[in-house]
Formats: sequence, structure tokens, C-alpha cells
Amino acid sequence: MISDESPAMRFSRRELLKYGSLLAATASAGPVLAACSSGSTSTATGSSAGSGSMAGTVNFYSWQGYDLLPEPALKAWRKKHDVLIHSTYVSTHNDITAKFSTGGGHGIYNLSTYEAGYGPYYVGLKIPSPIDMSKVPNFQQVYPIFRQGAVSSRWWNFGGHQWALPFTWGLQGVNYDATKIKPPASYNDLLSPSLKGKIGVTDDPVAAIVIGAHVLGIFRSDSRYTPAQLNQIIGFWSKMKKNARLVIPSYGNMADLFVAGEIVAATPGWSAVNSFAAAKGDKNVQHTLPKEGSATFCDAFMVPTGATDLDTVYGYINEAFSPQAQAQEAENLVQGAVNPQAVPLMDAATRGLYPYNNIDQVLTVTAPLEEIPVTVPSGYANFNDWNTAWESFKAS
Amino acid sequence: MASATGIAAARRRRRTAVALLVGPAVVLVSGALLIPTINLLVQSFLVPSGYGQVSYHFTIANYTSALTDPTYLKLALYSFGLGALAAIACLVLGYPVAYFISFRLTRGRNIALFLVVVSLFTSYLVRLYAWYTILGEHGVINDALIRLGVISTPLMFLLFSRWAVLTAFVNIFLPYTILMLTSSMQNIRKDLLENARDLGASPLRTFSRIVLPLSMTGAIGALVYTFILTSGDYITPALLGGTQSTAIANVVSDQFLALGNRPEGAAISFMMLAVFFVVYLGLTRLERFKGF
Repeated sequence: MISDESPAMRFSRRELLKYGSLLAATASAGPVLAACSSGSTSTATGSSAGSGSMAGTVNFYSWQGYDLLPEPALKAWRKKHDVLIHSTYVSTHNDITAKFSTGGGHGIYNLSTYEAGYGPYYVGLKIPSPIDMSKVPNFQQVYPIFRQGAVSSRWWNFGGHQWALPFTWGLQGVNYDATKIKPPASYNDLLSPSLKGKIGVTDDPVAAIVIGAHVLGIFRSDSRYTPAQLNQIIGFWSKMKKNARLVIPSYGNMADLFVAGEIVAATPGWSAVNSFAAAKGDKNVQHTLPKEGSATFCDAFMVPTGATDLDTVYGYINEAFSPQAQAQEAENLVQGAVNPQAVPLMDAATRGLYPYNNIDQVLTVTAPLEEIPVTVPSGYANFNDWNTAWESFKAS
Repeated sequence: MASATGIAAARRRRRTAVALLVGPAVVLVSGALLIPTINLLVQSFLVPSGYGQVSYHFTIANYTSALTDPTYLKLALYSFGLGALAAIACLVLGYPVAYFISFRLTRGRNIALFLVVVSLFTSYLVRLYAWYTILGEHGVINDALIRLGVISTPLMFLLFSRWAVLTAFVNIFLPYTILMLTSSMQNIRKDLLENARDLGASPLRTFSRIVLPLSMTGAIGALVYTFILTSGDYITPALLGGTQSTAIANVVSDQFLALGNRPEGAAISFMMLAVFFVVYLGLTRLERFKGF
């Protein structure tokens, strides 16, 4: 009987159990250390009915619904061109920043989006690549404000390049259950003792700070708030939190909470939550814009640097600007379209949501798009200060 | 002489085989865990300079700022406290089950172990969402209590509270605790328990003097495993924690994702790791426990 195992090399069951558990726990803690972002995923494809040069895969990384999966126009297009979509959904806009600024997303995802205010910031971080406009002819159909002039050159077309293509926009106010409360006319209505423990505050710092600024009457589209003003805004949300049941981690989760009957209202809201809840059987969730004002967003398709399958991606983007796709997107997401030819194709309710005959006035005066204050003059709170303040608010 | 050569060759073959068997695991652990961990350790001593960027200058400011921030300290206390509570609760609930499976069951032992494991087949997130239907305002518990006339209005604290987070943690980690305890109890000979009883020891004394000391390694493993994973969890507090939904791991996540401040995120991570090691080392001293 020969054995060359030294006693030191031998592991008893007890030692194996002890060290094994430590190793397993340490390995499991790895994702926390790395603070990897999480996201839900979805995959859709068309059959092989047709195939052309656009056949390929769109690896999409953005908000749930922005992959336009359920829309008949895009479904038909995917089927015709044999295009597969693999979507990963984000919980916050910061997920997009993190995914593409740390190198993890480039070369993996070939289609994403950014909200207008993030444009200069993202270009500075080298996240988007210039758009090849010759491959998206449908974009020429969009309202002029989205493709030329001051608004376009501030957020999407600057430095000699078109960095992204705005495809949807909207306003963020309050989501509420229409069977349980009347539409809140003011954000302060949500502070009512009768709603204590029945509302949610969404973990969306940018929208929250913009809405807070509106409530306090200090809103500025250049987002220049002093630290004292930022404290005032956080103070407003702290009051809201005291009346809230929870801080809602994502808009998808907000829909679940409405469906489960756990909340009757939530802010910052998003009209698309109405659709998310309806898809789960609750058609009573509505979205309203209180009198103080709302956060405005306009999301644009971007092609991250290092993207592959470009013909597929550009084909998909181009189709997303067709009148049919735009009308269906507006209806499904309960958001604004950018193609005027889509307006007559919408149902009356969707068409009535936004003043399409006065779109310039809305996006420049009534509810202008807000800047992300990455760099601000001395004396103003920057984006880092916003996030830090919001983090403290959540922890308080 | 020939025999000695043969023994040497056998040793070489065995070492080669061991290297081939262990090598892939070593490469995997090194590549997936050690290298990123060392990278993070280095980054924790660098100066942040813009989103996701670092300046290569040595500093301990990331550690000092994290240690002196009252918000972080409060969250750390909350997270480690909740982790400790979850670990202890799992142990207290897991011991009777593991004891029953190990010493009372014979034929049904494998079925019982399967039933323990089967709960792990469901995804973590699905199990968290399931608590909405159990603890929610219109959940099973509130509905039952209202129907029975015990309460007239739903108990709102059941969901979206620290209690809910603790409940979910115990639900998720109890099976692991039971498995570890059962595994360690398999080393205990039944005749030891019989001898103790023959000598007049009460069931409680038998448990404290025989079962507890001999299964302590499993208990320590379960405590450490549950404590580390629950203290570092940020999904469960976010989904079930209500307005107190932020844990120290959320701060790490926010440092990396929202603020792009990798050095400070790394510094907080390593302070968490230090706490985990201290707790682990402290708990290993319990191995000397000989019973009450």
C-alpha cells in the first residue's frame, strides 16, 4: 500500500466543508465586488421566411419596450429580413453609462439609446459612434426639431457628426391607479395623509430632481442648481419618502406593484408603465402630468463604438422611423412619436396625448429637455453631486 | 532499487494527474476571482478622475472618506446586522430539521433532502416576487387574517420592511444551512447519542455536548456563507426593503454605476471583505466549543 499524500495535503470532510463554504461564499461575493449591473433579458426572432443582406442579430441594451418587440410593423420586418433581437433591459440610465464606459458593452451590444441630456456626456466618454445617415433615409421624415436647429445640434448632432437618432419622447409625471384615486393635480397631493403608505418614489434621480425643481419653482433647463437648491429638492423628496411605501427600484417593478395592488400612485412616473401593467392584466394604471410641470425626455438610438452587424442595426433603426412603426410605438409605450406621418395612424387616445401641432413649443418652452450637469461653473451642483445627494436620500 | 524507482515514477504520475485535475480550477479561480480582486485592490488606492477614470497616484482617501461617512457607516451597520440576524435565524431553524433528517429518518432521508433542495430550483428573483403574493396588502397572510377576523385592516409592515427582507433571506438561505448541517451530522455516530442517553443525559444535554460540538464545522460554514451573501445582497433589500431599501452593497453598486467612482467603490468592497474575514476568523474559534 503506497501513499504519497502528506498529512498536510489531506482534507477531512470537516475541513472541506469549512473551506469549501468560504470559497463558495467568496466566489459568490465576486459579483458584488465587481458591482456588475443586472438586467432582464428577452429574445425575439422572425422565421426564415425571407433573408437578405440585413439578416443578422441586434443586441439591444436599453429600456424595456424600446426594442419595439411587440409592434406588428417591426415584427413583420424582422420576419422578412430574418433578424434576431436579443435584448437586455436596464433599470436606470446609469446602467447604460456603466456598461459602455467600462468597456463591457462595446463589441457585445450593437444598439442602445441615450436620453437627450446625456448626449454631450456620452460623446465625451466615446460611447456612441457617428451614425451613417445614408442608411437611415426614414429619419428624414421626422419633425424638423429632431433633425436640425438648436435642439438637434445640442443633443444629437454636434462636432460634425450625428451621434444618435431621436425616436421617442415624453413627459414624466405621476402614474396612478384610476380605480383608486383621482389623477393628482399636484405633486403635493401625494403628500396627503390619506395616501400614507400607498405611494412609491421611483429610483430615478434625474427625473426626480427635475420634478423637484418644478415643484419648488426653480426649474432650469440647463440644470444649474446650487448645492442649497439641490438640498431643497432632496428635502421635498424626503417629505415624499415619509409618505411612501417604498422606493421603487425600476419602472418595470412599478408595473408589478400596481398589478399587485401594493401602491396607488408613483412618481417620477412613466407613461409606458401603463402598457407594462396592462400587459399583466391591470388596465387601470394611468399617467398624469401635475400642474407644477414634469421631467421631459427624448430618447435616441445610438450605435455604440465597436458595434457589429451594422447593416442589420441600421435596417432596424430605419424601420423604427417608418410611420407605421412610429404610430405603434407611440401607442404601445404611450409616448410621443417623432414622425408626423405617424400621427394620423394613431388611435384618438394616443394622438391626443401630446400636442403634435405645437411640438416645438413643448420641447423648447413648455417642457424643455434638460441637461445632465456633468460640468458646471463653480458654485453649482454637478451630476456627481446629484447622484450623491440621491444616494443619501435613499439611505436616510 | 527498482522498487524505489517505481515508487518515484508513481509519485510523478500522481502529481501530474493532480496538477491536471486541479489546474483548470486554479486557472478559473485565478482568472475570474483573484486577478479582478487584485485589480480592485489596486484601484482602491488610486485617485478617481471623472466617470470610470482613475489617476495613478497613491491615496488612502477612498478608505478614509468611506470610514468617516455617517451614511455609509449606518448602512454598513444595517447590512451586517441584517446578515448576522439572517445567519443566526437560518441556523436556529436549520438545526432541528437537519437533526431530524440525520437521526430520525432512515428511508425518507433522501426524499427529505430532495425536498430541501427542490426549493432551490426556482430562480432567486421569482422567489423574491413570490413574497408579494404572500406578505402583500392583498397577500395570503393578510387575506387569511382578515377572513378569520383577527385583523380588520391589512398589516402593512409585512411587506416592504426590514422584516420582509429578513424573511426572504431566511427563505433563500435556509436550504443551504440545512444541507451543510446535515452533511456535518453524518459524521456523528448514532451510538454516541445512544450512549449519552444510556448514561442519563437529557436530550438537550445530548444535543449540546455531542451534536453541537461535532457539527460545529457545518454550523460555522453555514453561518459564514449566509452572513457573507446576505450582507452583500442588494437585490432583496431593493425589492422588499420599502423605504429602507438601501444596503451597503447598493453603495458599492452606485459608486461603480451611478458615480463611476471605481476607487471608492473598490475601497468599500475591501472594507466589506475585511469584515467578512474578521467574522470568519472569529467564528472558526467556535470549533473548540465542547458543549454547555
